[in-house]
Amino acid sequence: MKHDLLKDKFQSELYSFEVKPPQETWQKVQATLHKEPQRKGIIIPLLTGISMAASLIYALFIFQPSEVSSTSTTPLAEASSENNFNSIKNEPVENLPDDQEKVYVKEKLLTPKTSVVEKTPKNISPEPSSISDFSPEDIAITMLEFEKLNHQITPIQILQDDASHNEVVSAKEDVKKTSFWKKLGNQLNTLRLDDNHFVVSRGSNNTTSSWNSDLEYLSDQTAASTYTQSITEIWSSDLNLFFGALLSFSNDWTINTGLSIHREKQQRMDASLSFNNNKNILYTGIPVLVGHNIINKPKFLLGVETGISVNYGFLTTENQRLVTQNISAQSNQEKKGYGFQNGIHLGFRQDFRIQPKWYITVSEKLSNYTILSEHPINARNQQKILPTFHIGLNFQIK
Amino acid sequence: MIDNHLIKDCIKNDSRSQKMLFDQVAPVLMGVATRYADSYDEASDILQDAMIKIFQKLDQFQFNGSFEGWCRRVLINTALEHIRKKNILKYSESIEEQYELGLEDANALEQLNAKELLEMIQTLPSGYKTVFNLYAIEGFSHKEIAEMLGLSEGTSKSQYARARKYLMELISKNEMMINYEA
Repeated sequence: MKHDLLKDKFQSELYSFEVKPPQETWQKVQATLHKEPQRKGIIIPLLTGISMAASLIYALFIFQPSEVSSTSTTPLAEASSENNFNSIKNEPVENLPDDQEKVYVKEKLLTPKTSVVEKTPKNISPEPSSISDFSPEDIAITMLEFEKLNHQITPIQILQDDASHNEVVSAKEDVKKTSFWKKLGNQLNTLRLDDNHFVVSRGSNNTTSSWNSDLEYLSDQTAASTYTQSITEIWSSDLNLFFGALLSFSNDWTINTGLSIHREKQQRMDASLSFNNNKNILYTGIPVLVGHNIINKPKFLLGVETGISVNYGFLTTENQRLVTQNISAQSNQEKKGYGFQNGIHLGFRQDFRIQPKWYITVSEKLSNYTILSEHPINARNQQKILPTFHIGLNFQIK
Repeated sequence: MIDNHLIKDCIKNDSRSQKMLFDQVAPVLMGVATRYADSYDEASDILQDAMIKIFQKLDQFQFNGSFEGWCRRVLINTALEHIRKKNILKYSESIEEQYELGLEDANALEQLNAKELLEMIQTLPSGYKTVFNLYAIEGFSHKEIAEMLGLSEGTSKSQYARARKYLMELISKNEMMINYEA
């Protein structure tokens, strides 16, 4: 076989021949490789800012905290008496944000004894432009949708100790059927639990962030509350930031903020800090939860979680106990406590999720302790949102 | 030789490691890209696309072969994509007789340095250039080239023969110029 001199020469000289690449090539490569985090870096402050601004708007214009956060130590029912309602009712409309859904919320709050489902569409002249402001994907989300995003953070929940709790459990969903509400139903979910109970939920989510804002009104206790929670992925899907705020007519409010860290979408650690001004006592809680998803499939989730929390201050009123996933339950009498939380979360995504938890709170002097078991179930039926159910089996040992 | 630890750090998306890896492999890959491209700018584009692919597909590297070879293959595939997009490959089916180098031409060839050879390759028509690069320099067989470019083995041989003839003419001209100047 003849030797190909030409081929040999070219190969030997050029096979490893180096040419200096242009300076900007690396910069362009780097920009492409790290494009997502850079973009998120811009979005995060915007989203969190919007979320917190929404909370403030609720606080300043809808709930009028200056009026409801009096120094009165009356229990929840008294705090939200007729007088309180009237004071809110008389609030000039101009002070309200001109957001359609918030007007709706306001209307609902002002007419607690009426059938909100029937009257609301008539009271509001819907502006088509207000609907078009929402993107098709801009749908209300439930806690299960947080779950889908692997955030697994249950927003602040209200757990009622009295009969209304059972009513919530057995409540039926009733989404508006008129064309306007049908259209809006994708974005704004109005749940009529019964004549005197409803929840308005508004939220959006995408692959990188989500926020949810709910208003819940329960007339039996003449109590209403709302929360806004924003979950934003920052830097990567391993790290999430959330902010929440809960405001109530029962003259207390809670601001909940924290950090959620997901490791390889399996382990998770939540840490949050909450301030509650109930009865003029500042409440702080710094719980750290570590969860592990044993099975994490698109349709099914099974995991365990455990954690510890250090709490200070009153969290409860006489009639109401606030429980969040990140705040351990406390007995009413404890001003200081150390909470140990253990739980199992079991989820059938798209349908419902059961999240039984066991809390053990120990007093400062270790003289008594409380064991509390709770079994919240987040239910969801297709696009229709059902309320969070809290099944009993709460028990206390002191 | 690229350190495996460096590759693993790059898989973890460590920016500093990615820069180090880029600095180590980019010059050779730019040299390869320059042979396939019609211009320096086009070569830069090919390198950029290839480096992005390399980093994004790095977790697919099996660590049981040459990393440089793997990178080179990614770059060549990227270069072929660029060429296909330009749709400039035109092949002739006839197989031409292979010219042999005369003694004087062989001597002239021996005098040429890498840069001059590279410049000669860059003057080749795109079809010739691609096949010449793949066969003469990368060492692919005509059968492999035929599969890569979607043409017959005969066409690959033909393109190589034409490229070779073209280059020999260039070398002869170059030799004449040198003699004239002398």
